[in-house]
Amino acid sequence: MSKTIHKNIILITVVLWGILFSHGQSLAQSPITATVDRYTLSVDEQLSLTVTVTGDFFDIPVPNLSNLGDFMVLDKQFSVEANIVKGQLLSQWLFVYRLQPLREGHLVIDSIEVDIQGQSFHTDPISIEVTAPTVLPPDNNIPLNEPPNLLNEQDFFIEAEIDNATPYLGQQIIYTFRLYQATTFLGQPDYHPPAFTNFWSQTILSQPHYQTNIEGRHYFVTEVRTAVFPAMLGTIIIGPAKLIIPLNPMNPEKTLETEPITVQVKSLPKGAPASFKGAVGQFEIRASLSQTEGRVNEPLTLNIEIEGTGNIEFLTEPTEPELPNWRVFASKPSTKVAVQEDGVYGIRRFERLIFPSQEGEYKIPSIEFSYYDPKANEYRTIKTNPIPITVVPGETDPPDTSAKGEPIGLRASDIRPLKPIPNNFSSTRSSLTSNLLYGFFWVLPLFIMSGAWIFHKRQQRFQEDVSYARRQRAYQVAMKTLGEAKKDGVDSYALVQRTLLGYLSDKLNHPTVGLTHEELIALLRESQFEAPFIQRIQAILNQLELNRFAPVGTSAAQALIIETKELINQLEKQF
Amino acid sequence: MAYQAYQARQFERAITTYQAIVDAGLQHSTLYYNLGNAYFKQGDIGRAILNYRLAQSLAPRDNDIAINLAIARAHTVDQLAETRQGVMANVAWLTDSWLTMGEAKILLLGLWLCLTSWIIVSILWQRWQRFFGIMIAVFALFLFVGLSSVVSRLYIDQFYRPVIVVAKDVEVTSGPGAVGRYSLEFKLQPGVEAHLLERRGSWYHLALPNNLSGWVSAEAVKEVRN
Repeated sequence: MSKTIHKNIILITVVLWGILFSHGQSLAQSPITATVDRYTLSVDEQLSLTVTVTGDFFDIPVPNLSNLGDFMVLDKQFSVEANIVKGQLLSQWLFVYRLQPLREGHLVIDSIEVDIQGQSFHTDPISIEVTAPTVLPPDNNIPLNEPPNLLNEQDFFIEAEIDNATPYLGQQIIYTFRLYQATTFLGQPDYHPPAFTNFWSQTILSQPHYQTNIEGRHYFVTEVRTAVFPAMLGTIIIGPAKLIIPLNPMNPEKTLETEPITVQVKSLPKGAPASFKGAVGQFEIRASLSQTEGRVNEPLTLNIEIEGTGNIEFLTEPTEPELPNWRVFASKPSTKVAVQEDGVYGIRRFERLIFPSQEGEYKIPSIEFSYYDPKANEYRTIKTNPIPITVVPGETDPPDTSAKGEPIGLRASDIRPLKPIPNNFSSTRSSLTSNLLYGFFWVLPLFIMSGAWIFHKRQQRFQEDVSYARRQRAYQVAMKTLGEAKKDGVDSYALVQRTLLGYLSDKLNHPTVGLTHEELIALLRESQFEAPFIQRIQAILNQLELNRFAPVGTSAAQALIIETKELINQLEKQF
Repeated sequence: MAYQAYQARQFERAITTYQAIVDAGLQHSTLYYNLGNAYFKQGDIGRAILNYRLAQSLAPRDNDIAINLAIARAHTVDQLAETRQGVMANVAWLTDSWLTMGEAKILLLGLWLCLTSWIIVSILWQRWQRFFGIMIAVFALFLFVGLSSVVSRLYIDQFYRPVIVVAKDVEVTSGPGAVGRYSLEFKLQPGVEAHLLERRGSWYHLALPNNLSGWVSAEAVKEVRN
């Protein structure tokens, strides 16, 4: 329905009035009202129903008009007005429907429902007095569409026609658009169908191609056949269809338009049966139950299907059968539409959930459905066959709760007995996730994984990059060697000298074997060592060399070892 | 005392005693199970189902609870079979049907520790990488499924909480208000299991089996919540 409404939008007005600090509209009252423009009319006239919805919401609240009873919706329009009241957005939606009464008498527009943000609101019913029809003007003078106005040697032209210029309200007519072409086009022509205002759904049936000969010239013809359903009485003009044809680079395109077509829509004849709700076409009805045998208080599905050609998408549910001792739940209709050569064909399905409340043999009564058959020019009423159903008791008898507080007793003795309650059970609602230890065990593996990954990468680099391995291990090796230099019986000066040179060699990634002191100093300068460090290294190396060949005692060796150790510690911070 | 009252067929007294223990904040599946039995014997099918469901949430593998719940369900007037709808409900059922929430969380932690252990071993030990890869994939899959199930259960508990109809002839209306302001859709009898979609004042919007929905008074239903 919302699709059709959107198609029929003719007015959307959004007015922002600014911030008003007083005179706000009260939201306490019902946000939906319904008014009509007249309370008395003849059966061939229409009335205007306006549904106003007010509220602070953004979604389009589409009124539910499924219970219009003896009225048909011919046309729909809506507009919206938005205001800001006391800093709050207040929208007012106006839905205007043109309604056609289906019979004479005292008719009622039932309560209209609007679902707003999960809440349902209803209007009050409106009573309408429908009188006998006024006399329709004879329709013999309605001009039929002229055959194509053929121009001399015209390369291409278009035309449009309908198969019935005087249909009944709701009767299917087929609008046929034709393109005649004797030449080929540069590209694909662009077809713009007419708006089909005041018609219900438009379905393209087929696009046949064939050849014909007109005034001695051979034409290739392309047709577009569209099924539409008139939704208002009286004269309806179908506007022109357009075709944009690409021609050549100098004259890129040419637009052709068909002549407008006049349709005179007749009201349906008198004498509609009570069960008639606006169906026009040829239909069949059938009903079935999901099971042939039911159980007390277990659901069955009653399927009602109406199948045929006509305004199938707009059929309302047939009057539900009276089912005493059954509980009936609301139905949800669905439609499956197919296209045939001569029109729209489909199945409208209504499913109801029904519950038998007592066992026994039942018959789902006949369901009656009436439609107007324009081919036979008469109303037809069809019925489903009664459906027999056997209802047996449920799997277990319901408890006898007729007397308040009356125990079920022996019949429920099949339940498992009581159990002893353990001595210890939880007295608080302890949540595991609030336990710190639980969270700790989720986080701990992340740290272990990170550590393992770092360790693995380090090991990998040690194996792949020798200079890196030497640099990383230089300090450790130096400290170990200096420790050995303290021992008795070793050439401490030689060991310290080798340690210092080895350390520098590892750190600088340069062999120091065979380097003179001057070359070593030059290398340290290249490595941008600070001058005091270079001087200290030079001094210690000189002292070691001197002492190696002119021993001065153990205490001097120990002092040099300590000094070298301090130097390496300070160098370690430099690297 | 409650046990003796029950044996003496003084179900009202048994219910009062068991309920007092529950109201004091003590929890155990047996407590809810016995309370469910007392309600069942008294003919209060709605509250019997409610308490069996509460017991089942604490002891999902208990056969006695499952049997009594099935019997209580068979005694409901509206045999609206609750069906799992949607991917989330099916995923939640994977653990819901046999593990409490606490057990599911412990299982998840166990799977997480196994997965991370295999990852750590595969990092440190460069051999058998294919085998480690398979083990990691298997545990990752189990963890993903388990995590999805637990998250789905938490989501359902928060936004689609199960409720049980406990009153008789509950009027289901088209909006959050009494019949008169809103139209009467249908009536429900005790024991119908539904899900809570929305609260508005003292009215609950319920999703019922068979794609039915509507609003009921909050007093007519009880949430399945420990």
